[in-house]
Amino acid sequence: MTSRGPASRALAMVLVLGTVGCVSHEDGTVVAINMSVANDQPTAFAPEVATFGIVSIELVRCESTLEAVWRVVSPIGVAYAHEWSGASMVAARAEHMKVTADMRTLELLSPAAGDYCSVRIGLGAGEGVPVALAVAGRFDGRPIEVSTQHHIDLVHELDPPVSLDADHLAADITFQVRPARWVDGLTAEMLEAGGLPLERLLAENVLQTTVVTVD
Amino acid sequence: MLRTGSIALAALLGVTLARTEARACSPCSTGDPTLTVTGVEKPYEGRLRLGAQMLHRTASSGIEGVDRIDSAEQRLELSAAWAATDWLFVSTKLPLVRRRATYPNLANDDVLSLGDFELRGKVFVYQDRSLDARHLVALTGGVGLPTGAIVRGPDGQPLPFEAQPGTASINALAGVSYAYFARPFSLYASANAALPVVHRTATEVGAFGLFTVAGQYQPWEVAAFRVAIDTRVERSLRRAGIVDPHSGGVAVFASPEIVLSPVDDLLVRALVQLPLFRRLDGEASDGVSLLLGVAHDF
Repeated sequence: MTSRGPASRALAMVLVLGTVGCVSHEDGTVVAINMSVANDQPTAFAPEVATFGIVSIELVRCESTLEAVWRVVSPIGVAYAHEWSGASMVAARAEHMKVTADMRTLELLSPAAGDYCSVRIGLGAGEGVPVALAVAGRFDGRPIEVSTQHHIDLVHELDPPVSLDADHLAADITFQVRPARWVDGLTAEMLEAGGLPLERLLAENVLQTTVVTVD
Repeated sequence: MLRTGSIALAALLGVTLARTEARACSPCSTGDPTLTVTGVEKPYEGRLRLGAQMLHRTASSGIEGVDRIDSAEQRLELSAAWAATDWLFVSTKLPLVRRRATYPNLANDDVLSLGDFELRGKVFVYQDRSLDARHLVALTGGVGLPTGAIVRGPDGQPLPFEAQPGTASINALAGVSYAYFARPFSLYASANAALPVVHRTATEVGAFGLFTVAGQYQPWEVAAFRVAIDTRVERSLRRAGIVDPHSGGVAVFASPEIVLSPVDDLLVRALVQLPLFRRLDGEASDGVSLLLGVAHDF
């Protein structure tokens, strides 16, 4: 080994540290927001495909009334310089799910450490997403499709709250939807007629039959 | 970047090698046995001081649970100061920086890189006498070069400023200092400013100033006790033209220190810097800093 060997290596190390540095990264919190479609025993209605127009997914922090007021009146604006938004996703897309006990992860959120008291999925129609919610299947053997463009907020209160800290970095939140129950209380005539009453009932059935589990 | 880093290293080595004649026993040459820490040295022609110091400090900016980033830094600074004449000091400093930034979601980035290189000239414009001077006034000018890497994430975008090892800017440096020696006491006061003139990224550091008043008591030849009050004033960061609300302001620190000289021309110092007063914009804070340094005169 020549005497220049170690010096060359030292110089190379200096140049590397000066140009790109050495970086290591550790991931932080990960909260998976999942949706699963229950494959209930069909009754009069046999759903086949459900479509969701997802416009937002949000994990909502626990906040006292005082904190909520302060957040509104604080002179430091919401557009924080660090632009941290790991607790929410805002972008419209359509998710088509077959009614075969399908489950998929809608979004991986990376929220700030803390306690979260509710989770919200916003369904709505937007650019490239024609419906907020739709289900296609057979009612009494006849093919039907029921849909709505009206915004629906699937909100679930988390009790106990989901706590994210150094010892608990991950959580799985699953919305289990039951399309077979979405037309409960609807008759064939109502399905034929369509309109606002149908869409309202559809939305109510979705909200009442959706179950959220946390792991 | 390669060229800048090479120039920085060459300058550091150049100052080290360009001394005219080795001189031991710096108190003999200055006529004063007062222990002087790095930056406060009395000049005599050919004096060469090499130093290394390790610094640990922490800081945070942003609102907890929302956008707060906590940073911890360990810095190894290599320095060289050479008195070309008995009124001119040329000094360089090159740090190796390790920075850990922790984000609100508890993710973190650990960065190891060179920091910003500094080159300064210190001109003593007044000394009441050449040997055992009691009053010294000096002017300082220099430049800080962005030799620190711009560290990027997996998406190719620069990591937040809190994770970066340097300022990513070329800074003009200027300062003035006054030192008074009346054994066993000495007093030092300085005002230094840094003005960024060229930015390499969309994050622009603001100008900042550091004002120091320090008093030292040296009861023995081998040991001294020093305490400094440091005041830092800085303008806010700008990120892509938008003012960071959690940056800028005024902070005052107290820095008690012990200085030892176990053998001739060798100086060891240990310092803790405590935040005393803060008026920082937005939500920002500094933690306690620790420094351990060694310097040798040749």
